[in-house]
Amino acid sequence: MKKEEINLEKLPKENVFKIPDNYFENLSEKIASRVSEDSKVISLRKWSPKYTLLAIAASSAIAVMGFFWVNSQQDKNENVALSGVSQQEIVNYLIQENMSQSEVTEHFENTNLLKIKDTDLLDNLKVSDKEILQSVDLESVEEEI
Amino acid sequence: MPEIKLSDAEILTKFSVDETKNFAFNQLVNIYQQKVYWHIRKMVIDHDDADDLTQETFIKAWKNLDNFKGESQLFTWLYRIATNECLNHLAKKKRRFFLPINDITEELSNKIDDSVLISGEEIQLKLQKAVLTLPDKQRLVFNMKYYDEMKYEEIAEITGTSVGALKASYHLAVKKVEEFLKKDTF
Repeated sequence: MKKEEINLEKLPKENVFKIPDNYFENLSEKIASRVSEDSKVISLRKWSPKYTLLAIAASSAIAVMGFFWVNSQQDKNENVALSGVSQQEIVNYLIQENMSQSEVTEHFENTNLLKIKDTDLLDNLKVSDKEILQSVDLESVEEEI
Repeated sequence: MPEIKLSDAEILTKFSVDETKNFAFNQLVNIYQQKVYWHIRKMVIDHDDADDLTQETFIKAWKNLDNFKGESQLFTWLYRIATNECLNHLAKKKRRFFLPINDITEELSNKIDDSVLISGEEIQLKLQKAVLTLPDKQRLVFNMKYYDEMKYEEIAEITGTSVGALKASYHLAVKKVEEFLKKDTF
């Protein structure tokens, strides 16, 4: 059977697509309401120099507050760390760190924290009498005498 | 009282004044919403998709109408926005399928059979299915020339293609559609 020729120009142009009732009336309203929502959003987003100054002031205040907070935390930590250390341990530490005995005693006498005898310091040094004698320059002693 | 329809120039003038901006835009919507909707509907087939894309087209128009320089007619400018919306929408759909173009063609073709918002004589439904086998851009050209009976110069403004290329594309599209109908119908 011979196939029939199709000529598009001879076909009636029919719209096969349908729409819900009153669709275009509702569409205008939907678009109008979206446009008014959009206008509100735009007005909220508008930036001005006033906002820039406020933003700078707010961030500066946060930075200053942050600085003081970090400092106070550090002081607190130091106090907490030292509170668990006995005074004797502090004395030992300072001696080990090559502070002179006189500096140590002077400090503790001034602060009235500890009464230390000279013999205590020698005991802490754990140096024998023999070693002390060896280290003393005899000649200079004689000169002193 | 009959509704007064503003000209493009009047719409643009009133849109540039804050007090009459909304009035001018409502006029624009009332005048062009049907043309824009049908242009989109023929491309995406589904009513809900066409509804979304028509709204998006007019929202974009609202945001950009201040920059419209009046070098073309308002309706060609609106058609251009609508066309971009359609092509982006179809490209997104295709990406979702990951696979060949046939999948989306089949999906849209099934809608022609199943949707309660599509009905007509069998030959008309087959014609729609035949048009769906064309590549998206060729389908656009076919719809604007065959259904909307637009001039090639107007289509050229919307698609940014030369008149010569459009003529060639349309004649090829007609041939393909007629071949499809001949093969599938009788």
